[in-house]
Amino acid sequence: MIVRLELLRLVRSRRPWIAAATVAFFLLLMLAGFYLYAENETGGAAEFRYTFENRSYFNGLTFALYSFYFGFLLVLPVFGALEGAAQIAGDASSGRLYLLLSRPLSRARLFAAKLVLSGTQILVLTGVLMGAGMLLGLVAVGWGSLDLYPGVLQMTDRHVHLGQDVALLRFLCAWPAATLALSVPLTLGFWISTFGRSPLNAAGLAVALYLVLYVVSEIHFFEDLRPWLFTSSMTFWRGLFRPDPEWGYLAREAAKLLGFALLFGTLALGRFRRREER
Amino acid sequence: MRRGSLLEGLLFALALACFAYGYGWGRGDGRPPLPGERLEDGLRVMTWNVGRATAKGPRPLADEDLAHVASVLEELRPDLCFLEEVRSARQATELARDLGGGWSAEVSRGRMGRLVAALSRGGELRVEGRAPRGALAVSLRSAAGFRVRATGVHADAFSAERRNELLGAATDALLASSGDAALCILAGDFNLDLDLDKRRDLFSDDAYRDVETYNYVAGLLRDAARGSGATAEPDRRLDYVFVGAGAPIRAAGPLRGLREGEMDHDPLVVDLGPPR
Repeated sequence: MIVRLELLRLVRSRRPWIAAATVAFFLLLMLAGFYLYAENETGGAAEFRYTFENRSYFNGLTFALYSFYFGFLLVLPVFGALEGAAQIAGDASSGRLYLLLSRPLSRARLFAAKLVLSGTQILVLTGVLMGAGMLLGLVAVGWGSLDLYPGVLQMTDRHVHLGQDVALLRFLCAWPAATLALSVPLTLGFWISTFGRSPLNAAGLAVALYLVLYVVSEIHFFEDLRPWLFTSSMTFWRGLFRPDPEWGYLAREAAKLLGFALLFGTLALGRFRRREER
Repeated sequence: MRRGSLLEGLLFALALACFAYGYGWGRGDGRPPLPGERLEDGLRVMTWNVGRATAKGPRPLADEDLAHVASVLEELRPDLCFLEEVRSARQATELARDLGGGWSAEVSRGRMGRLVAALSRGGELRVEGRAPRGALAVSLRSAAGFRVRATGVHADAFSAERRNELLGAATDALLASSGDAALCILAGDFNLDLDLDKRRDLFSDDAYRDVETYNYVAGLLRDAARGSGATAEPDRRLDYVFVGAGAPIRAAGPLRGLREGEMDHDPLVVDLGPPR
């Protein structure tokens, strides 16, 4: 019952549609950028003798992977953090939380319903970004095998060739892996939202915190600090696009992220259970 | 209330278990082991840029550092060592002389102050052919009895194009002339830092080309010290030892705490087993 009610409220909140529209706009921008980049890179003469560049670099799967990569880094975590932050503080601000808690319903169940629904929303949004990118790539560029070359996009440090069937399977595996990574900013947002009654403040703080951690994890001078930040592990799913994925590494990075998600989730649950509503 | 607290405790314990697995608490850090005691049946290769990074710019090996370099070589006892930024042939000769019997030295052609020197301990060191400028090609017979072809390089610090040309040409020449050698080695200061997680805006005019250069070499030879960490200030992996197939890599990595004065590189040491 509570899940249905929360689902209805989520749909009416329009947040999923806003997120989907942003993803669509992002993909269109990526497509334009992709065309310009491909034109520049493959139109010029090779300057060096020792190079791996070739003319079949850019295709639909490459487009899908790169657009997913950038969308994952810069768009989806923001929506994850926002969604988490909108939950408890949003309900508290509108007075709905007080009404919900007046029903014969444990706080843990209400919390679980909210977490499961927002987690599902992130799963769907991740799938939308990946699926729409692949569809757009297929229509606009055409699929082929997936060839990745080292370069400014920093996806790989060596040439990677994956046949189309293997590449599609890796995309499929990357979907839940990326969703797991996004569950960390989501639960962080949840935790922050249990502290106050203003969804705006909670959302601002959650997004700012994510961005700060992301920037710090990208600066190599913080070498000793970086391994302890969840943002350093978030793109671990890229390892799935190696010819022979290092499963041990992938499992360890996934465990770190799951640990962070559980930690933030537990802290959020604890705070929510002890919170006084007025 | 008690059930809720139990749930929280359970979730918290699960998070701890995930962290324990993810961060490998109780396990090593996954890096290759650092070279320790030298083993007689294999080959110890070392590369070290012994120049200085001073406030007035880079400076080659100073005469007052010769004794320190000799003491490090004495301690580590490499079968083959390439030194970069050697000022002159005289310094290499003096090093070999200070190290005593069995050591021999050769130096590359090229600009004074940017010479590459090869030192070998009892390995019948011989210069082979004409190496590209900035490189030194040598051959030797190891103490364990197998023949080795090796090239030491010092690539340009400021031009990706010149790095690309030197490393590509040195790799091609090494492999083309390997002949009856059981093992091929390319070592030196490549001046490439390819860590994917780093911002590469220091000391590089074209990181994209550097990645391609690295991959050209890595496609033909093995990067023996891959994953072993930075070799130079500030947190850059610039020094490499690439080896041909056949010889197992027993240990590899930069050895800290051996710099003197304003030196900015650590010696990179690789222990190889006998080629199969």
